[in-house]
Formats: sequence, structure tokens, C-alpha cells
Amino acid sequence: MKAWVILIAALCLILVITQMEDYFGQQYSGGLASEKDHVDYYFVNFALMETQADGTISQQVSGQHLTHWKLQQQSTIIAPVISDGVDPQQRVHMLADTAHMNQQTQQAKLLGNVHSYQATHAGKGGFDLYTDHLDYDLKNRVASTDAKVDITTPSGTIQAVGMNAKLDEDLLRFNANVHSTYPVK
Amino acid sequence: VQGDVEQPLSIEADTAVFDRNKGTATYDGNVIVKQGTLEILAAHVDILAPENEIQQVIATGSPVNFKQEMDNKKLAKGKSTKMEYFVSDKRLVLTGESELEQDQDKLTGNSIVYLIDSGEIVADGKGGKSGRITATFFPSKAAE
Repeated sequence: MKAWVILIAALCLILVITQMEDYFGQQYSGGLASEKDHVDYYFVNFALMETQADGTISQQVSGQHLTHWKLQQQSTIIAPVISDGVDPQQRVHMLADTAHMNQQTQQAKLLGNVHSYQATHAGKGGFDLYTDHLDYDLKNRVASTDAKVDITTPSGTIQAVGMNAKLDEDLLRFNANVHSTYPVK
Repeated sequence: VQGDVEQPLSIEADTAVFDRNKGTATYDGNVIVKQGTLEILAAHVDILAPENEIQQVIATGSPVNFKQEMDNKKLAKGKSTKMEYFVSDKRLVLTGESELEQDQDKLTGNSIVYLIDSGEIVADGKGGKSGRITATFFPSKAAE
């Protein structure tokens, strides 16, 4: 008889402990979760422009949706378009499925169907680049990826794996498996 | 082969750096340059492509090797420490311990200029170890 009493008491104790864990668990995460996922603002079909002192646009970020978290200083953009460059003829444009932007570090991570291009003017400059993902440093204007890249320029085509491009120096570095083709006129 | 010079020029390498301001490109590591049947194998290649048009390919290596199929289907091949290919002139300049073989005929000298279109060759010994060129030609038919 005594054994039965001990067994029932043990079971009740276990029940009480699990209930308490559930209760405190909700209280604890509920409070923090709301702060972390708190969206500060949300844009639809937007365009944000950074202008120079004389009013000319130096950078523009636009897209279908933007969600911003002030605490982390981060935004997620659906169908982003990043355009960078003061001279419209030299401006580089970057499109993707999604972008994650960190306002603090001024870094953008473009993900999915990334297409970057620059128009050709009077036979000069111009390229079309396609890759899976691209990191873009808005402050230093450096684009880099470890994925395969496919580039078409007026002087030929380039395929490679891994790239680092300094837009201000017009310098492109390809890290592996480089294959380029030049048409002969 | 006659049509080689009209073919697009392709380059494969481990790494590359493009300077779009200067219109130059540098390829490093197992570099293979191809144009039709012409093939150049080098360690390092510089490309000059001002105004978006490739004009010159400068290959260096120890050595740089090239080969090309001639119109008579036989092979021309050569090697040197430096090779410059002037695309629009269709001219290949071998410099430094240069050797050129066409079928069995062989030519050595410090520099050899090979006109791809006409197959014409100009060799120069100046600057080389012996300062001279050597040429070995095999009679096409055995003496009757």
C-alpha cells in the first residue's frame, strides 16, 4: 500500500514540474520574441535615394516590399533594385529575388537570380552579369561572390567561379575556372 | 589552317584580373589560348583589348608552347620563353630560345616571326646564346 502512495506522489511531482516549465517557458520567450521580430516599418513599391550636396542621386534602393527592423538595423527587400553611381552613364544596377541589407555595415546580400548590368555608352563600358548570389559593399562599392558568374561585355564573354569587383577602379578579379571568349573583328 | 584567324579567340585559366579602364586582362595558371586549330599553352597571359577589341596576346612561361594544324593537315608547333600574338596582323612572334617545327622541318633561333596566314617565317639569331639560327629541312622525296 505504502509503495502505491509513493508512486502516485512521484507522478504528481513530475506533472507539476512539467507544467511549471511550460508556464515559465512561454513567459520568458514571449517577452523577448516580440521585441526581436518587431517590424518598425514596412514599404510597398518603394524607392530610397541617397543624394549628393548638389542634389544628384548617388545611390538608389528600390523594390516591391521592404521590411525594416530598427533594433538590428536590418532590412529585407523583395525584388530589390540597387543602382549605384553618380554618373548615370557609369551607373551599375543590381537586381535579385531578395536582398538583406545591414544599415550599420552598409552591406547588401543579394540572393537568387542576381542580374547586374551597366549600360554601354558610345561603345564604351557596359556589361551584363548573372550569378546566384552577390555581396555588395555599398560604402566601398565592391561586389563579390563565391558562385559561378556569367558575364557578357562588348569585348567578349567571361565565365568563372568566384569574383571580386571594385567598381571605383573598374577592376574585376576572377578566382577560379576562368573561361573567356573574344570575337575577332 | 586558313580559317583559324577568323575564329573567336578563347582563353581558359585558373584566375584572371580585368582592368576595364586600361582595356587589359591578365590570366594566370594553366593558361590555354585557342583560336581555331591554333593553341598556345602558357603560365601567364596578358591581353590588350582597348576599345573592346582584342589586339594582342602576350604569353610567358617556361616555356610557352604552341601548335597549329597547317592547310596540308600537318602540324606546326613551337616553343619559346615569350610569345606575342598580334591578332589583326595574324602574326606570332616567338622570343627567347625559340623553336619552330613544321612537319619534320625545324628552325631554332632567339626570335622567330611566324605569319599564320601565309605560313611565312622570319628567324633571327641576334640576342641568343650562339647569336645564330639553325635550320633543318627534310627532303620531301627521297633522292632517286
